[in-house]
Amino acid sequence: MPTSIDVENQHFAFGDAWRLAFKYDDSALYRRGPERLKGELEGHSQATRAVDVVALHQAEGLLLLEAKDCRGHEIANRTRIRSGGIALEVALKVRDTVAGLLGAARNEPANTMLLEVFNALRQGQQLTVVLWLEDDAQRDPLMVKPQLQALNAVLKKHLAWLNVKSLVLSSRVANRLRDLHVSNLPGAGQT
Amino acid sequence: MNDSLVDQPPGEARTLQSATISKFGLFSNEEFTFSPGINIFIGRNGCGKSQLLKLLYAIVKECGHSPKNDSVLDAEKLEHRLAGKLAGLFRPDNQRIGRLVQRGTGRSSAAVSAGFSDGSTCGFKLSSLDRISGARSNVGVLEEAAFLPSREALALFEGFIPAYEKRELSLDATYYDLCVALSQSQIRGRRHGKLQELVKPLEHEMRGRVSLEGGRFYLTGRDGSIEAHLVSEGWRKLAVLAQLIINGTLTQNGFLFWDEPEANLNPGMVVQLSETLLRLARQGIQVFVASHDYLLTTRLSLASEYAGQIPEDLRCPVKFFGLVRRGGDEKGVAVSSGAKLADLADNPILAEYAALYDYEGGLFEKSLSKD
Repeated sequence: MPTSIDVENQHFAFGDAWRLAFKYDDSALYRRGPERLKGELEGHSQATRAVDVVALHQAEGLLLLEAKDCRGHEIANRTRIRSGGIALEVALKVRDTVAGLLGAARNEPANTMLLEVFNALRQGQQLTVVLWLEDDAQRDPLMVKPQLQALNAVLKKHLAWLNVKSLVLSSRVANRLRDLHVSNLPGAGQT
Repeated sequence: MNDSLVDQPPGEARTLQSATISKFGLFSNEEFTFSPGINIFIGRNGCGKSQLLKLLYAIVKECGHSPKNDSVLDAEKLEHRLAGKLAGLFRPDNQRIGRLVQRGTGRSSAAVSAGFSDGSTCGFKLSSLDRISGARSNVGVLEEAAFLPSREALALFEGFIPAYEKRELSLDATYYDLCVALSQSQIRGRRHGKLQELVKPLEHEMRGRVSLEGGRFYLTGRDGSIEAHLVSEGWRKLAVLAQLIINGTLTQNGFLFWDEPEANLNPGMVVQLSETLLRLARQGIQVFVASHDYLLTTRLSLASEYAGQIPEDLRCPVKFFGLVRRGGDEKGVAVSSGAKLADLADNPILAEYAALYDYEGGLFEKSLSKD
């Protein structure tokens, strides 16, 4: 069913081809579940992370989507993007999200939506991770794709354990996700 | 030779400042203004990068007096030297250097001229009938120029010089010139100490010192001496550079031409190489490089873009030249230039990376579809 989710100054409109889509890191599922796993270890605070969106396509499997809008925060984000740190951040969120979804499905066996998500995580099912990155630091259009390519290479390395397909997308390149329309919310990209 | 390697900004060195090339090879009518630091030529295969490097090398090598030979250079002698050099560098059939002239209807001729930072100039014409004429030069003494071809030369050094002189080898003259340069003795004493600053990172990378003993090169490290043949080609390339620095071939106000320096180097070595090139240029050696490598060109471009943020010993002017084949009926190549990769009108290296992204995106899209 068509669902719209606003995250990081972007409007994600999931069309009919998507069975479900929800803002996972804002969901009761996450809040009453893995978010409660937090504490301190050897002086360092520990917390569970979560991707922004979990969506299930009719035919194309489960999508874990993280959106980042770095526009207007060029200096703060440049190192994070160029060093690949942002890819590690996404990969850790994916790790925790997969664990969180698995735990939720075990806790709520009657929840058919969770059962579908659980089945989509099983062997042989397509699992896709997308980092949707809006970044205006790269002013040279020729450099946009090589930079996204390099970032995806880091993301892919971090997610090799999970056997997923990953891609870093942005409004500056072609959207490869079918029946998902992404647009800027009013005021996006303005500092 | 200059006696000291001081930290002198490249702008004050005597450098090749400009070249105008008309109807030579792929260059119909191109004017180049070079950086006194590093000049990087990029372009797809067959765009004339190596051709340009060799031509510039011939100019620097032959149009000035060698520091070791300051005999009078009249027009006739210069024409003879240039003809021999072009024949050796490009190796056309039967030494017919007229084949380097861009083909047109009837007889034709190429014209090449160059200017140096002190205002001196040189030039010559080359006819399609293999004749060089109008050679002129008031360039005076130039420091040594070294040309490093894309294939590593250390392993083929042994016995190469006499074999080449007997015309037993079909490699071009860059290999001969390089082997002659490599055969020079290493400099010892105070000057050697200063040069070590440039050589140290190379020796650290290849885990040993280069030495020439009995006509063979060795790398000597903690585990003793190893024949150059037995170490990786990447290390041999760094060893060549180290030897040229230690024996004084590469010195302040000198020139380094390097065709595809990245060949056979792992990414870590490429990073080391980019810093070495910047340090060499910082020491007053003018560098000309032809490259296909994303990492090398991007590192040099970042050094140009963030000159104020990198260590001082890496700061030097950098200029990129993009060579692109003209389309349609137009002959030759078009040239764009700028201080950063992004300044080039056409960048085949970035274009390939962008194409790689599109290719992966296409496969990603297909993988989602069950059809």
